[in-house]
Amino acid sequence: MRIGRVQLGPGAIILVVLLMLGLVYTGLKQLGVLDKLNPTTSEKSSAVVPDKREKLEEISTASLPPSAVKAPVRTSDNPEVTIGLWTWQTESGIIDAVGGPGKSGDHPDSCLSQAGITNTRLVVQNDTSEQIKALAAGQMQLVTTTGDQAAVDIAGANKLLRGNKAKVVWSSGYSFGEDCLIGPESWKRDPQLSRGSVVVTAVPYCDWNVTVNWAADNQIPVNPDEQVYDPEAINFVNATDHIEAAQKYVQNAKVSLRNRATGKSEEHAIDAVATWTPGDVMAVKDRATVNYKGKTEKVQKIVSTKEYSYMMPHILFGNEDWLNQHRDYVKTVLRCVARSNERIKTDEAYMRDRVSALNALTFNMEGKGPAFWNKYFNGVVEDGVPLGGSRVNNIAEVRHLFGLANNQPVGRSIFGITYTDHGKRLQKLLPERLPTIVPVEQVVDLSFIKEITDEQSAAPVYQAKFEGPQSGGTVVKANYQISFDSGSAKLKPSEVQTLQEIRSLLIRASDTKVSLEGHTDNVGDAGTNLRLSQERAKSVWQWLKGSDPSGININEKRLEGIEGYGPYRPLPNNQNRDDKEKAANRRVVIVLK
Amino acid sequence: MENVTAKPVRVEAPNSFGEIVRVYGNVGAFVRSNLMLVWIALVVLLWFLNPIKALPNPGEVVQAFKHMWNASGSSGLVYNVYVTLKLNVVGLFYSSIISLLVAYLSVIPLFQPFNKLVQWLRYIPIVGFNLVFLTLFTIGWPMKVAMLTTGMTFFLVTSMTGVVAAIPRMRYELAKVLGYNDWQVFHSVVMRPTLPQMIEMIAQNAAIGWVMITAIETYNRTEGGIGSQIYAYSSTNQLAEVYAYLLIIGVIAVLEDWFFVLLKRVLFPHSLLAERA
Repeated sequence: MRIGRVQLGPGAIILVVLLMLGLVYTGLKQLGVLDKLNPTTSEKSSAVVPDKREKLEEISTASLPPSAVKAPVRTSDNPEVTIGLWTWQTESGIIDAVGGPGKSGDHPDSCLSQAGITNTRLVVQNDTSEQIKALAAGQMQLVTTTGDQAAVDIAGANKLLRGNKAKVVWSSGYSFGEDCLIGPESWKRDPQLSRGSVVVTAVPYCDWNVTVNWAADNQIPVNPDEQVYDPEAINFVNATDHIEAAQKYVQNAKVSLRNRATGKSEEHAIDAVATWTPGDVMAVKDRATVNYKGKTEKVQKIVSTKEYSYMMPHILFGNEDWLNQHRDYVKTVLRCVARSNERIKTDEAYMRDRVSALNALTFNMEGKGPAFWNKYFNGVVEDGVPLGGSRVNNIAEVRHLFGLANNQPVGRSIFGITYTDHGKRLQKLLPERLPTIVPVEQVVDLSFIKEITDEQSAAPVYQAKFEGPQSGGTVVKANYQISFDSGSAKLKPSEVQTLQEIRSLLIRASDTKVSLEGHTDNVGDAGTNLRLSQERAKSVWQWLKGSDPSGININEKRLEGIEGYGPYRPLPNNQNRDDKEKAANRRVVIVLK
Repeated sequence: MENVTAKPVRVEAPNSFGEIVRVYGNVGAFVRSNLMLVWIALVVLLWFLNPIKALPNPGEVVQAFKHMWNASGSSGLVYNVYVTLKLNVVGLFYSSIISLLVAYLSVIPLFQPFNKLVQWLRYIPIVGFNLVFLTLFTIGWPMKVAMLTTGMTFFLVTSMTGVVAAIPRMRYELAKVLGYNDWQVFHSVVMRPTLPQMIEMIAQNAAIGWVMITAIETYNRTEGGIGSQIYAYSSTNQLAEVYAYLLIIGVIAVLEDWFFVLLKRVLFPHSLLAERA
């Protein structure tokens, strides 16, 4: 090689290259770039300044209060395990039990480590379909979904696992407000105003379910075809996840849809978003108002898992073959999670000072530190809009969810209801996405929960308090036709299916107050009809109450009133002209507030 | 099959590398003329024997293909393939015109830095521009066309500018000696001789378009299309349907390659002669 007049031999070239590399290295070292390549060096700084704790790099697990959870008896079963999580605080107990990012063995004081489990780690992946692929490939052993979304996820998992092998073993908590529909505040007064709106969300996932639930319970049509606009229904625009949904909403994006009536493409605004934390915070803070049908309105949380407090339990499932090979491991992990959740429930400081920091490190979202996660775990009201809200399950609540507390068949348990109701709804709306629903009895393996009988909870199962006003609007107003023998208020066996439907509704939406209205047609004496309509509504309530022997979800405290209106409030545009119209007026209206 | 028996196979032991190639290369006329089929058969065989249990097998993909073929309306296969093909063609058309313009402008010094900037942008994933597109376009057909055109242009400009830059300096000088004016130079030195190569660049970038389309149609699902269907089926782990669509993309890509060869042959028959020589 020749440079100018100088001829360089191979040795000289190597020397020059080394010299240049040396210069580059020294330069990078001086600029501090090399230190940044190894982020663990900053973890060594032991001083944690409280007001800087929102910066993730300032938090070190070593400086947090130690685990206060008593570990169960040690197990010798210590397999390599990856548990799939979402950015979801119902999983706080799992995160606390493992001890945060990395392997459980990296956190010697964590419950799992103390119990002899050192090879378990957590991976956050909000797309369960990806977790399921990892499960089938043997890269994940326990994966996360929600009760309402479980039907579609389990069907997909069974496809990849080649058989009915996906088994639900546990639930770590409930979404309690954070999954929601956010839109123009007038919808809160009258849900029917949402007809003809466009909602952005990830179809067919849990937030879509919140919206579909609310629409179906209010008997508002839902248009499942994302390509068409239906002016009578709630329409959907797709997003790949809850954050993208919030972004599309905040950007005030327009969408081009074909009008069902005219067949022409037209531009529509996006009126509402279904998302979860931190998507709800983004949507409300970055887009304060919405122009809906020509009027500027405040953006408000319309409905959420605060009202539908039992629709969205966290669900943990795995491959039956693996679960059975590692029974002792699974039971030990479940014990740890139950104990951790018990602690979180009863000790606010434990959540604030330790678990919320572990959550921040595990979720690893820039600028979202312990204070952020702690605030939205408990739920707050900001600018008049409730945001966030999660709940964790102790062992009593897990038993309650799966119907073990009262020896209920799993089909009638809270999990059975949310699994089946939402599965059927999805199947009706998007049949090609869910060709078969596996019966709920075949998707649970409750033996693990049943075998840890010595595990007990000091805190009772959550029960709605109904102190003060509820959500400040109508959550659901729905007509149910229930036929009675003439002049009688006795419920007929043929009506049980409809009653079960109402029961499912009341259980999914447990944090709402209930009013019942009885209505009749205009045949016969109006005074008698008035009395009869109230008695009929009363017998419906009695049946509903009797169907929840625990009294946790359907109880007298929840009842706001039972009214009988006789023939005086027929359905709109209904004048009792023929038998069909008369039958439609013989109904019970359920109002949830 | 008669051909196979008609040709005697040599039986002597090979004694040099050249002979090994010739002996084992002497595989019979049928196999020789259908080597592609042989390879496809091998791939399918491998697929049948595949040890990854979760992967859909060929039978399941055929079933998926059938049910999507029979599905009506917006979830039907024909409709979704049409939607994507339309997008691909329109995107390719717009980006070709824009890129040709930007590439040819690079002969003017003023536009060279601009050209370079456009080329750098190809390193940025197209989703990086989501917010820009969200603000400027409507979710659906307008945004899809805009995203695809933009994304493909970044790549097309790069390869087309390469073609322009490779024009030997001598040709410009020759044109000047011949007394051509600027337009004549542009026409006879820059544009006409490079157009056949430009078609090749477009053919190559059509494939890049298919890579982007799945992401773009996932972001804009209001019209359907292969990308949105792949995303939807994948999100419920109905992988047989996903693979059916992937195979369709493969078939379209092969057809598209053929089409561009044909196009070049029809439009610029001389360029083919030059290549053969």
